[in-house]
Amino acid sequence: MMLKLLKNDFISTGRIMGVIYIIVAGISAGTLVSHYAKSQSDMTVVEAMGVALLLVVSLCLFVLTVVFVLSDFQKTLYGEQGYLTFTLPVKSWMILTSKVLVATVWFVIALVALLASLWVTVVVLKEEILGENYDLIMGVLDQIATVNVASMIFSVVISIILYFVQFAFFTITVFFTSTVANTRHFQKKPIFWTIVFFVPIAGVATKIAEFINSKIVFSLFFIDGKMSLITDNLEYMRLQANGNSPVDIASIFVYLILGAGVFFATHYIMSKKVNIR
Amino acid sequence: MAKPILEIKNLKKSYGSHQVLRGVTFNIEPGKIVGLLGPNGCGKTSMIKSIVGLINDYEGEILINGEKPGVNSKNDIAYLPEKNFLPAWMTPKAAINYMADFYKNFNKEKAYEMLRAFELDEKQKIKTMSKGQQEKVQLLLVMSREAKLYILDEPLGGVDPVARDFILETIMKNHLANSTILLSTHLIYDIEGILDRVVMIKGGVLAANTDVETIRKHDMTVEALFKEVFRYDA
Repeated sequence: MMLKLLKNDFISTGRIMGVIYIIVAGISAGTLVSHYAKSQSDMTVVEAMGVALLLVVSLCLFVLTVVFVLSDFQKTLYGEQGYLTFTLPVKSWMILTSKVLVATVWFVIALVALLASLWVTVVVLKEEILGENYDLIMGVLDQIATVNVASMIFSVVISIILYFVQFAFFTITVFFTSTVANTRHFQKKPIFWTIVFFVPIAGVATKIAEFINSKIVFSLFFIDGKMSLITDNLEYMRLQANGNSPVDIASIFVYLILGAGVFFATHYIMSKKVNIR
Repeated sequence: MAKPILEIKNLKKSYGSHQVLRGVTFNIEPGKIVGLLGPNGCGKTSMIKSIVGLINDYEGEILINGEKPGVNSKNDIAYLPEKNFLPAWMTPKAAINYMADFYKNFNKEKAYEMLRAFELDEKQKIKTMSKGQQEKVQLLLVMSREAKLYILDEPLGGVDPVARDFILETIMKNHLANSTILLSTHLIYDIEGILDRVVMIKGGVLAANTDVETIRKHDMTVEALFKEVFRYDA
């Protein structure tokens, strides 16, 4: 059933989000083609427009994703479509899990699209923004990559996991706020109350996460191809002072635990306190 | 006596200080067509929403086929709400696939048969359909389920007399022989002929719960009984 929920949630959200990403991919491809196909070294009008459009759309992606994810959650659970969703023969936590996972994937895709469009921008504008330093910077990056490949890969993997967990945490916080805004006292203006509640709730949740993170040192560090676990604050600071970057994995657990707490709270309110109108 | 398909024991539901259901108790036997009758605002929809699992903060007990509302009961119940529950972007074809995905007892062939009989285009988006067409799509989705209990909330509300006949005919033709129908309405005249039993709710309490045959034995009609029970509400 979980897979069926995921499939249908992707179909439902993909109609709009998919189109936005196709537009981003189209602009990127058009800009790159125009860049590589030109005969002169100066920037063409198409390139300039492409880059400008790409930057605007990409920077709006995150906001668009938040708006879309929230409105989909509101409509399909607490709007008239809730009559369909909540009468499906599935456990209510599965419905919530599916919504969180699908929304998180869209946030990750938004991030990837943003990075990809920045890359396109750098490629097109390399002479304009980096000048002669472009090749130098790329050379240094290549050198770093060859010197410590395992560490780089590990850092990238952990970063991806961390981003995923952080986006999931952000998503469930949005859903929690929306669920509170759909309880009886606030139900008449759910979107308004979601926005009002989100700032303090997300603020408190982030502060708690930051506070716990600052107290716990749990990082991994690659040296001579071997991985070591750093749990001592002094050791962590010493490594950082020497220009090393231990990979922080404590944040992943902190966001996972806090996210689980917010998930259970959301599920409780959703299944016990919200009456679908 | 057969095991009841639906048992409601001392059901109470409040919205803040306003109590809409004040301790309703009744059972429904399998295979019956039951009218849940009462004027607007008497608590019919709140009761139905509690049975189908849309409202959970009620007091009392609800058992569907011996089980509390949950995954199993949702499989047993085919529910037609008053609201338009389908997303605007969906087509009848997508809606049929959606229902078939989740309900084991959804009969796809029957759904397509009804789609053709209703002269609906399987590729037309819900948002471009008329209200009547949207209602037909919802009705066919519900009646294509081979459910034990069909719960239809005001299926005749806001439609013309010809459409009412059509809806009733569809319901009667497509429900399984041994299944139960709980039909909520305040349009008594139209459904009087098909009912086996009536449950009347007045001001959140049970006002009547009787066989239609018994009513007729007393030289009354359901409509006459309804008028008698709700004389002061009308």
